[in-house]
Amino acid sequence: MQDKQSQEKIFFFDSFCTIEQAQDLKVKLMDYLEVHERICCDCSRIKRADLSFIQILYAFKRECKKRGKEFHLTGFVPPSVREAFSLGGFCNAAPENGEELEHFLYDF
Amino acid sequence: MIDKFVETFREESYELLGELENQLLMLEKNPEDKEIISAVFRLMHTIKGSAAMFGFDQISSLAHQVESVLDLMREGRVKINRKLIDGTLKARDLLIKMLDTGQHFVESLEEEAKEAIDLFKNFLPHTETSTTEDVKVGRETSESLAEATYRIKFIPQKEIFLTGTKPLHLLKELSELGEYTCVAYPERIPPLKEFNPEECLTWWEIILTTAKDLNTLKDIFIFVEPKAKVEITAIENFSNLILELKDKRLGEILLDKGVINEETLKNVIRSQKKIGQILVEESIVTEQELKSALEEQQHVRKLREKQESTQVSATIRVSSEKLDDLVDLVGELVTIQARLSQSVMNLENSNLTFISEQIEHLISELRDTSMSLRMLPIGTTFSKFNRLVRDLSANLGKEISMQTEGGETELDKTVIEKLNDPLVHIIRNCIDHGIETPEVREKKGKSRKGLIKLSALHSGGQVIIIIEDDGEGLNTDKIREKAIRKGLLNSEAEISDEQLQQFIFMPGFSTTENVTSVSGRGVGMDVVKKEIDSLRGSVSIQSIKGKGTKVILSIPLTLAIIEGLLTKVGEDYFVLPLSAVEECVELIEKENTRSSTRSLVNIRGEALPYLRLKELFEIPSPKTKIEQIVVVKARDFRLGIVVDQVLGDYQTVIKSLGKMFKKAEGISGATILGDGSLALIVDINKLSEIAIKQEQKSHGQ
Repeated sequence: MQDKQSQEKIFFFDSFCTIEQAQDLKVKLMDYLEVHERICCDCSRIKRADLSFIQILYAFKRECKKRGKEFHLTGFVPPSVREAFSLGGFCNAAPENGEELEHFLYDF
Repeated sequence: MIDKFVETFREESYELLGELENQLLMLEKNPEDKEIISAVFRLMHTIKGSAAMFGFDQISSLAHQVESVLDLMREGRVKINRKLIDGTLKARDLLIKMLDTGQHFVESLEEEAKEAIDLFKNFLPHTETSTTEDVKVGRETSESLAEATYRIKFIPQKEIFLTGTKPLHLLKELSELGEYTCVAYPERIPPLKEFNPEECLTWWEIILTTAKDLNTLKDIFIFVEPKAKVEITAIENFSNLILELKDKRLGEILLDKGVINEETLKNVIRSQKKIGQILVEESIVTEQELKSALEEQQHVRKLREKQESTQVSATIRVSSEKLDDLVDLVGELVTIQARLSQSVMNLENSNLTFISEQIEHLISELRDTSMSLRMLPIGTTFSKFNRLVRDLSANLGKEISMQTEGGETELDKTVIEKLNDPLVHIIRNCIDHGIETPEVREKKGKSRKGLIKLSALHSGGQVIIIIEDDGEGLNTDKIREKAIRKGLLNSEAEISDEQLQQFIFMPGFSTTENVTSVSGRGVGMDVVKKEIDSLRGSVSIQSIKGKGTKVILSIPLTLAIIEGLLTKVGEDYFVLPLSAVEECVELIEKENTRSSTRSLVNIRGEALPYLRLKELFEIPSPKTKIEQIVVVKARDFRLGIVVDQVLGDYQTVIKSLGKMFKKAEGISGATILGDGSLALIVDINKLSEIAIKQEQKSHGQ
């Protein structure tokens, strides 16, 4: 059971993370970034994800780095996200947990 | 030549359809298993493609319709349920019928095929119903089977999302064409604040090894090309690259030569930088370019492993007739060799004896090898019964599962083929009479679902096959009543439950009052016994009322060779199957008790019935004071067979007696001995039947 404070720190992605929600997601992440020092995102609630979501993750990680903030992925990675990562050539076989998936969002 | 290919296609299709049945039954139990779903799809896809290629249009057309539904099932757009599995199983049965009838258009099957196609059209969402015209495409594409490797660069324009294109869908289509390795290049993506998430800033490099041609690959990108740059280049000599990777590295060669040891090699490797690392540090290549090259290397490795595993499991297809011919010839060779050995022995020449022994050794190996070519695992036969259990139990409103054990046990192909019918009879009986309805089982405190277990194991030169159920068991009271009514048993006779249970193998013996379409006419177990007897095997039954029944079949590994005990009666030779022989003892005249109907001998306190081959086969020979009695066991019945002399064990090739002697009671075959004389193979089961009849007759009296 997580305490209230740590729950607030985790950013839970919504069920649908596709191109239709991309702009909204960007706004939410930017707002979140403004108020938190340590960034922690959880993909476990995602039911559908596409390329736009993966691109946002890369962009968000770069934004965090630019601002000197820590970025972390956590929680279970659902099949739809794993499939998008694997098919899209971002990793060979996407892992089931966020901490491992985070390593595939490499810096450039 | 074409006929040969067509025949190969048919043989392979039978195999594929057999496998399809297994996979469908597994899918029914595990509807979420994606591997099974893909396997089912692949099997139907292969059948469709090859049927189109060989002009089996009816087959291809039906397979195409089923495949369309299976494709949707694979995508999760059609739900897997019993109706779909039933339909696919029926389509599979129909495809077998079509294969049986051959290449020509078969009117009788047209109506059935139409019905099946219509059924499958109903599974499709309306927009996806396709016509048989599509099949022609299948024929064209299935011809391009040679694999090629392509490097594909896919660089979409930033605005591609706005046209509704989903790049991952295109990549998915590519991935389904073959061995797929993809590397994404997301470097153009800026930090989030500057990023427009509706833009596509990623591009890809893909290595694809596929049997499809260049046009098929281009077709995938046909609608995006104005909004994307697509470069497809065939990588030549890719197979050479695979071979190159197999070459030894310098360190390995030095290690093999003993110039350096393993420790030194490890230290040097640890201290040196990898080429990729150097190139990145020198800014000659980017990390992403290095990653792409490493992925390509992995792709090559994967292909090499695949290629090697294919080579390891490479097999050739040989017709069973050719194997039968080979075994026959080897049989002749064994006979001739036995004659040679005997002749050489008479000559007493050490050189010739040595050569003869060498030949004997080689022929023995040749015989074992050729016999092993015809050996097949019984598991393939077992798995066929899953369908029987599934369909029949559903028809009878029962819930039954089937378990198998020892499917890897090997038996001669001919024996396996002949086992099919007896096993069908036994399993049908288990389902119809043995296992109770779910309601009855619940009342008895059993689980609703009954169990049929098939198991096989080796036991000496025999294979034991056990078919058991956890049903209600045999009702010995009913069997007794019926046996008395049929005049098979004296009402006063004292007979054990085990002996009573053997009555169910009598012709026309059934205790069931209701004759169903499945069983109850009392022909099943009679047929089982006859078939098993013809295999020189035996069948026995063990049953506990309320707990279940176990039918045990004991079958020789092969019908071609017999391990026997060679005996002599007068001037005639007889071979008794060694697997049935328990012991040999001398029969001294004063020890035996004879009456007009009964012959008994006292062996260590046991009164053993015996038969004299001399009398049975009316062989003229002078009376000897000491005879030999060979104690054999058949169907739990011990019997003595009296002969003049026991000559020793003898492995021999069985020859059939031919039509003329088919009805010769007590003889199952013949063999030629080393000196060219003939030996008859004794049918132990038949002799034990004769002895049992004599016993019953004497009991009656």
